[in-house]
Amino acid sequence: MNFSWIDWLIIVVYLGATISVGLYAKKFVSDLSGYLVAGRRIRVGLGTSTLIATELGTVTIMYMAQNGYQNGFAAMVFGIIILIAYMLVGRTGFIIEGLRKLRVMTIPEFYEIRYSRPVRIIGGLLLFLGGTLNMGIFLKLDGVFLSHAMGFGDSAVAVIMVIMLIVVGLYTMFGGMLSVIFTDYMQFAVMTLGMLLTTIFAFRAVSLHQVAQAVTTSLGSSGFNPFTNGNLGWSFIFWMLLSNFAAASLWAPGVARALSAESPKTGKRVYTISSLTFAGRAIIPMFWGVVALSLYPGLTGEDSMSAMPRMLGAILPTGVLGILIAGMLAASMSTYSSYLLAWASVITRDVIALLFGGRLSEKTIMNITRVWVALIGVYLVLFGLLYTMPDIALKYVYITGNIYTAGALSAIGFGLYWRKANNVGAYAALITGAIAPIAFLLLSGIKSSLPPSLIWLTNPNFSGFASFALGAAGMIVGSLLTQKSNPPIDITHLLKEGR
Amino acid sequence: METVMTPTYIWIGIFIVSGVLFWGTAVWAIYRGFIDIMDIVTQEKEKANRKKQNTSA
Repeated sequence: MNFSWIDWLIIVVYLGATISVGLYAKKFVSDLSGYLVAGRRIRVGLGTSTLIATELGTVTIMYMAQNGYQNGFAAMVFGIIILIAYMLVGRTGFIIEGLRKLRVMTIPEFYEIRYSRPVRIIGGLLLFLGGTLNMGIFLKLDGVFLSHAMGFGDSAVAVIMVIMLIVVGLYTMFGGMLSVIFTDYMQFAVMTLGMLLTTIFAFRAVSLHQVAQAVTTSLGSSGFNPFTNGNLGWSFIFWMLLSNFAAASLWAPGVARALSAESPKTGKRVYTISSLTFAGRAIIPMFWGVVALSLYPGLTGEDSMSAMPRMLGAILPTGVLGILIAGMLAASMSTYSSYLLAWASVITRDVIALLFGGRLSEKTIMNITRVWVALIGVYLVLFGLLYTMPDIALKYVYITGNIYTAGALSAIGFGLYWRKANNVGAYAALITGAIAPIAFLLLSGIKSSLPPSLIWLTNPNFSGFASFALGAAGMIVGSLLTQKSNPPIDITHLLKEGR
Repeated sequence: METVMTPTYIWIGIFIVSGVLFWGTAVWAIYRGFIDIMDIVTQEKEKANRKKQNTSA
């Protein structure tokens, strides 16, 4: 085990600095807009660093590395897909520009402006469900990472994760978006350094020939060609392209950066510049996974997740390991803080506050949001400790995200760019979009008892892709059939003049 | 089984390009982000000072 007192010192100093900065930012927050969207004063540099930090957690590194371990170099096609998706959203401003023009604080607010209040409540609930289910495995993956990289047992990891959640919860609850953004910035800097050092040591640990040999021996040609790889293939590529396009334009923690931007143009620039890093965000940890394959071949299922952290624990010297663990903790904290705030603000503003009929004051909404930050934190600990990991973490993350993104892509995309989109179409899109991912999650648990004719329903590539098709079909058919009974609301003037 | 080197070099090339984009953009964002943070802090301090002056006046 390489973990020494120097590594501990680095982590303690770093955590102390993060808490101090998070609490320092709290004194600048005076109202709800300051709390949820940082007073809409985030510029390109800060917006870019915090968007990347939010989307780069330990969980991301873990499932990307696992993919590299299981699929070899072929997995790296995912990095190219995600670069294309975010670049497209940044260049076109698809959805994010419209939402920023409408000055909404959460995505479901759009549903009420364009459709109706009940659509906003259903959209908010689905977003909350998909988001918290998606976030459920974060803690578990972080636990696996820490236990193997630091060389401790799983019981110590649970304690570390609880402490980390308390730290993140505290500054997120009290400081809101500005604390999140300030600490994200710090975390981004530490994480970037940690990733650079790790990559240098990974290159020193094995030769390219050794890596190529390991991929060839373990995976054959499917370790190099994504189109012939059984886990990947065309259906995976199309599903991932759609999912990442939807996530880029709709995933609340990321979109919060566009909504916090000082102008719609700044929001677009933040996305365009950030997209340049998204290939690296996937490909760098995938390469670590490939290096781990050459050092620890033959691991399957949940064990395959431990290959990369085991490799890091073995190849990184004292001090560098401390920087990387601090960087990983940093990455997790920035992801947790943004996600906690995003899901807590959705359930509070878009569901609870509406059920009270707008009678809650801004201060009460802020306090309820804080309570939800704490509740989601408790849920994360329980889910992380009790849930059994799926074999392919990346697909779990995307399929749970699809519960919301598949329907929302149609409800919001058509809502912004198709005049005929109406209330019924939005209901249909949200519900039909969620059917396939929920069916997948339920059926994959009883896969062994399913008749062979229904096994195709447990294929995540199919379920994910089908969810987008169903969502779009629901919107188009629902809207066209009910144009007279439910005339669409025209928001063209709001998009032109702003709210 | 014969070790395949050509696709390895292609993927390592893609890895290097994505790495350069990642760390290059990161350095830029860290530099610009620092300026943005200092601006927000300065604005907030000025706001607090103005509030103080108004109260004492």
